[in-house]
Amino acid sequence: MTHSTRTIKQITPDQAIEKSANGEYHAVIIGSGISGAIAAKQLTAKGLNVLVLEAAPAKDLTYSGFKQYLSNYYSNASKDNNAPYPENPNAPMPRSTTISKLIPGQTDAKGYMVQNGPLALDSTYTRVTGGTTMHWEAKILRMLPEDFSIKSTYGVGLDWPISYDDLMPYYRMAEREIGVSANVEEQGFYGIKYEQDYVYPMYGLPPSYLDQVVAKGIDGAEFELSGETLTVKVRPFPQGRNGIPNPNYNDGNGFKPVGAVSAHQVEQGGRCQGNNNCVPICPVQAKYDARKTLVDAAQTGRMDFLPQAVASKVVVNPADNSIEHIQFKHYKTTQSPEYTEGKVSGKLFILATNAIENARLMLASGLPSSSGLVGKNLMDHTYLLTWGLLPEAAGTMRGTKCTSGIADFRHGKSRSKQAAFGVDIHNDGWGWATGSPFSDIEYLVDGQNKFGRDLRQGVINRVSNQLLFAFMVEQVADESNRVTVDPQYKDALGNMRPIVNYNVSDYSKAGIAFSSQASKVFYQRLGAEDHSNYSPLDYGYFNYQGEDYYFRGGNHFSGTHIMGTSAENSVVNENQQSWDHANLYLIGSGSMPTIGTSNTTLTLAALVFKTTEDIINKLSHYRIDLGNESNTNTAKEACHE
Amino acid sequence: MNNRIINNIDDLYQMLDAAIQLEHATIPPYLTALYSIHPETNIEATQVIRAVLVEEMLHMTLSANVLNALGKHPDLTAEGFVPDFPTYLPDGEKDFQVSIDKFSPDTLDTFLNIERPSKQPPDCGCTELKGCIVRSNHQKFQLKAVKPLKSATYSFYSIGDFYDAIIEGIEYLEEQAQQQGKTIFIGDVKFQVSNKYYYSGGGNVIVVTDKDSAIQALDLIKDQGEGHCQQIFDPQGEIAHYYRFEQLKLGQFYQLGDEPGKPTGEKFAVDYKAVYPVKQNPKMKDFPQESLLYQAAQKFNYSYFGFLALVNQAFRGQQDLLLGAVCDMFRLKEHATQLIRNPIPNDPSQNGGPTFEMFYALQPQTEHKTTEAEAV
Repeated sequence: MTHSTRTIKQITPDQAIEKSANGEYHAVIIGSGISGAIAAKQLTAKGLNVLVLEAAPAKDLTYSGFKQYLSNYYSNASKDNNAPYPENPNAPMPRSTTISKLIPGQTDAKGYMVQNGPLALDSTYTRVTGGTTMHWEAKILRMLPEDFSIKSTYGVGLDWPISYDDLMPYYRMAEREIGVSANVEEQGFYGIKYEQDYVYPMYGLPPSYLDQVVAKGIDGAEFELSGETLTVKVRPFPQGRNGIPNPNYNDGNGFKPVGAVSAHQVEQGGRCQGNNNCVPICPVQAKYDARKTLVDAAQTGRMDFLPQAVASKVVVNPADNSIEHIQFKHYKTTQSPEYTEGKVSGKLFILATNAIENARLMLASGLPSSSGLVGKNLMDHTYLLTWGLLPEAAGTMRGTKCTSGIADFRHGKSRSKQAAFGVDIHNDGWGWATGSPFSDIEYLVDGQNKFGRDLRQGVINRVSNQLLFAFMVEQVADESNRVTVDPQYKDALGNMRPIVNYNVSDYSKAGIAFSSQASKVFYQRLGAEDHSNYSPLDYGYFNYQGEDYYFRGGNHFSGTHIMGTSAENSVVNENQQSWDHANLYLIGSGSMPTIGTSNTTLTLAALVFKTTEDIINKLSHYRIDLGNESNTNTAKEACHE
Repeated sequence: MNNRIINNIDDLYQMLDAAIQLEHATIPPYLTALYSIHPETNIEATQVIRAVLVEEMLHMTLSANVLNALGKHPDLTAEGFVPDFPTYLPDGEKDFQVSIDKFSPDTLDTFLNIERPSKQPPDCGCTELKGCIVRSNHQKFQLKAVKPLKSATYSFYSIGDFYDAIIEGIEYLEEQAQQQGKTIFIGDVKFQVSNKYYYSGGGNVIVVTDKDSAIQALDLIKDQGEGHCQQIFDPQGEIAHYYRFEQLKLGQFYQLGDEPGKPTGEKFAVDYKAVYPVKQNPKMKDFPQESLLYQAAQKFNYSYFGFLALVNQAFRGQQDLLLGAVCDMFRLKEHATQLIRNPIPNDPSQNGGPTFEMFYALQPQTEHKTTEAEAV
């Protein structure tokens, strides 16, 4: 590995404006999360020049900047997804800590994301360089083949214009880029298939001791659903974090894990050590984040990176409906709302800011699309949490946050009636539901007057038997769940904030209710005490068929600029190209018409690889110094070094 | 007279044994200095010491692979394997001692001495043994590495010279063996620690099966340590240990193209006050027998010896033990920080520290048994 150049040089707004005016950019990319980073890497690798605008500062590209995030996280009393990241009123982000129960009919504008209800959504994303991969969990599942045709198969949701088979080669590229640890023989279920002889870049992470305890209790449990028998089997998850490289990868050439991003050769992050605070931040950077890809793009010398530049308007040329330029506001410091404005342009434009921000920017620019679907069909995964105490110590709080789960409710005929769901077994105890272990310490100190050795032992006793299941329930496209904007709600720079209307349909609620039933069976088989309870005071509370539940957001925003087969039924085509504006691409999970029961990142990353292939074909007459890199196979299998 | 240092296979075995001991000997001082830094401070110093430390672990593994390739196994549990600190290492004309100590300007100077590139002119002909200088104080050296066989008064000028002698020995002995249709690389490949189990430790471990891979492994040690032909960066762009440490001295990072002593990269400050006042070369006897510190020191030493025993087994075919060793390293860190962050009861101006005194009589249980207490 060449160590010394693993850093990113930044340019000034004036340079970006001037180079834009001179027509030097093939593509302008808005956003440096995983979508923007992969797009930048793929295009620059093909000799194209790109400008990347990032709304946040780029301090995190240095090792000390990253360590500062880590310190923030350690010292922050709240350990929420965005705990490591400082407040930035100029490019704010949603935080789950600002969520409270909505009062019917009243808009809640406390947080950055304005909540119109009826249900409060506590999902977040991260507006820093590297995007939401800076807090993601990095569980990285492929979608099931049947997810792509949910409408034609089960009569609900929306079909994709492409199939699993179409996406399969791009899944493979995404798994290389992210560096996925998994074993093919454990993942090929319910129609998931792989190219012959495919292996993941790295071997799967070992299941935790807790996983083994749970598997022993519930493997083989049978559920009757829509005339089918579903048999439960605990399976390991594919992980976007470094494990043992598989020597058979890439025709026996193996894979080299990518460690920490730093210009100073910190020799860290080659493999997961099981630190258990994967969300939000892996202390050794063994977890993939998009900065690793961004650095590769920078190494080509063809990426200009402009941080602290918030895209504020997409401007259309009325003559041919193409995008003429993108306006941005550049701020000097997060402490002050002062900014300078500029415009940047390229042969084409790629919006890669995430499903909420892409829609927000389009709507703020007065571009709802001819279908009117920009911002609509907002989807997320709704989580039901259940928590209990096992009859024996199960080593809770050890290892990666979540190593195994249950996939057996993700498929099947019942999907025509109720939402499918996946199940995660959490190695971090009751944390998500109750704030454990901090809440345990509070209870022992305040409630039990414990200190010293007793306190220590008390925490061990309370934590080591904890079990938490997270049921990730599918949500299908529904136009009334949506993002809008309103000049009433603006951020410090005067950009309109996203307003969210969000509800959970009966279809999803039925899935949540069945999750709760399944959970009761699991606890019974495990001999565990069920401690789950859902208070009407909780912001995620709802009652369904007489029972109390709550839900938590999954941070899997999607659907706000869905792809489809025509300008009437969608915003973008299968290559994420805008139907209305030929030189505009809206990329990311916003393009997904259905998300099934897979965390969205792998699929959106695969889509970016498909899109960049299309872009490269379209721009082929602009290509420069391609040299020997033009061989697609070489590019597909090129390693990180 | 033949000035070759290694003349038969036993010489080579002994030199490699010594190499493993030498690489390990740097780990206690680096580890203690690293853990003495206040958490979340001195990010640059922490990253530099840590990076060098993990590379020393790699070097120890590479040396062990070479020895295993020759059909012999290292012994990390042999009496005297862990030196009694302060100790001497072979380097430079002016002898210096290596101590278990907190991170400080003096400690940094010692680290620079350890990693100092050879300044000996290649053809100075100083002694009749290549790469060696005459020393008169050999009784002070505890490490086998210092003394080439059959020479009471010579020692290597630098660690690089020491490895050059090994490489020359391998080339000579292998050529002799080849002439008889044999090879000195008769070790079973199953004893080679591979990248499957060795990781996150400063580069890729090299599986040694023949002369070329052996020399590749030893060259990697040399390049990472004192640098390649006195360059700051090696051809792959990796910075050598000496220059890594020098960055802390100069308060500035090197970047490609820089001249030694004149870094042009990012500047930073080193805060020697944000360091726990660890007692220099602490010993168990410095802590009152009934104190928690004494117990912690005992636990550390016991765990450390257990850890060495586990690595020893890994070098003898049970590589998969290295996966569980990650947890052991976290446990060592916990014991070490308990010592480092607490004052000595009868000398509260100084804090404790790991003593690295091994109880050779007590062979700890090395099997990986997870008790309930450990599981939580």
